Amino acid sequence: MAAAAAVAALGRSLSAALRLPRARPGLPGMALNLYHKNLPKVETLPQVKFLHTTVSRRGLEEFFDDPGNWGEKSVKSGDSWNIKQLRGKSSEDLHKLWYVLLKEKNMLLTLEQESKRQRKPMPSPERLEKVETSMKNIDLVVREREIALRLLQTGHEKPVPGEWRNDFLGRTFWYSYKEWPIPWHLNKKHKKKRFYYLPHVNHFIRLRLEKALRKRARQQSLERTRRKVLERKFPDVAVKSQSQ
Amino acid sequence: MEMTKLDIRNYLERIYNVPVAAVRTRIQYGANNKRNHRNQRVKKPDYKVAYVQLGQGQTFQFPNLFPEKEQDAETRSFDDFRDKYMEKEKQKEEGDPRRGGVPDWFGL
Repeated sequence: MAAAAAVAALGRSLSAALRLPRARPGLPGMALNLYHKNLPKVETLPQVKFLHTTVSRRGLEEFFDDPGNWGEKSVKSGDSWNIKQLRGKSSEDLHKLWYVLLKEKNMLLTLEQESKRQRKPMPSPERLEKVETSMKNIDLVVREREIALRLLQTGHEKPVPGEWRNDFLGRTFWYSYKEWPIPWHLNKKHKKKRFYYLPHVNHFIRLRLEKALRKRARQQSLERTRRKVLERKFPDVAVKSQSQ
Repeated sequence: MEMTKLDIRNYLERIYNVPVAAVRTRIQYGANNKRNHRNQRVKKPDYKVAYVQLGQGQTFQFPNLFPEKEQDAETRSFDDFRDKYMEKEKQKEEGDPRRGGVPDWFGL
């Protein structure tokens, strides 16, 4: 009996007639297709209203794509946002765009998981990469602005002060200061760390340098041979670049 | 994976406008039994599962994201071509019809 009651409760909380979701909500004061810059203008289907007994589930419907796209083999989408395009936007616009992209990413991830479950190919998975690069670019732009503001206000680039240090292997790295409850000369574990190297390490520094130089020379020669091959295959393009 | 019940509740309520009544989470352990070609164990990643109970009498049915749609002319023609090719291959494999399906291994 208890099990039946529990199952009934479960059914009540989960079951519903299949509702056709409506068009995607746009945030106020914004163009609807903000997340993909060059999205082709799609005609919206006529709104078909079904009887709702619940509050508008605009929320959970946002985890899924436009229902017209369900079952399609591929969905058209524009390019990702470039850093140059984003630098011209205001901070409020970037904030809104970030959340639009976040919701889009959640939608694509649910689609990916569902396609794995149904063992079907996900329609146009390149959308995920585009969204991720757009979000990364927004992050970069915001960081740049933050650094610029900090430079103007305090004169420091980095939020946390630090310095260049050598480790016991002779490598140079940026050590950023941390907040400690006790000074470093009372910290036993910290005193075991060596921020200097002994003279016998110079030999290995030299070897590392040679390795890096060899790698760089290899990359440059590879680039040169690739360019020569291309010039041989497409001589007309090579002549144009030389004349320019 | 680091999202707590409170985080999930706030996320859904503020970003998606979904009223949440209760959230329960658990961590699903990913198995480490499979082995690769080097006999090293390959781990499936662990992940967190959240069970969210919607509030205010809301209901939700997970939609069918891959409904059957009618194929376009290209895929239909390709399927026809493929079926015809398979038929031809089968006909080639069949032997003399007068032998009544008996393989050629048997003499006479």
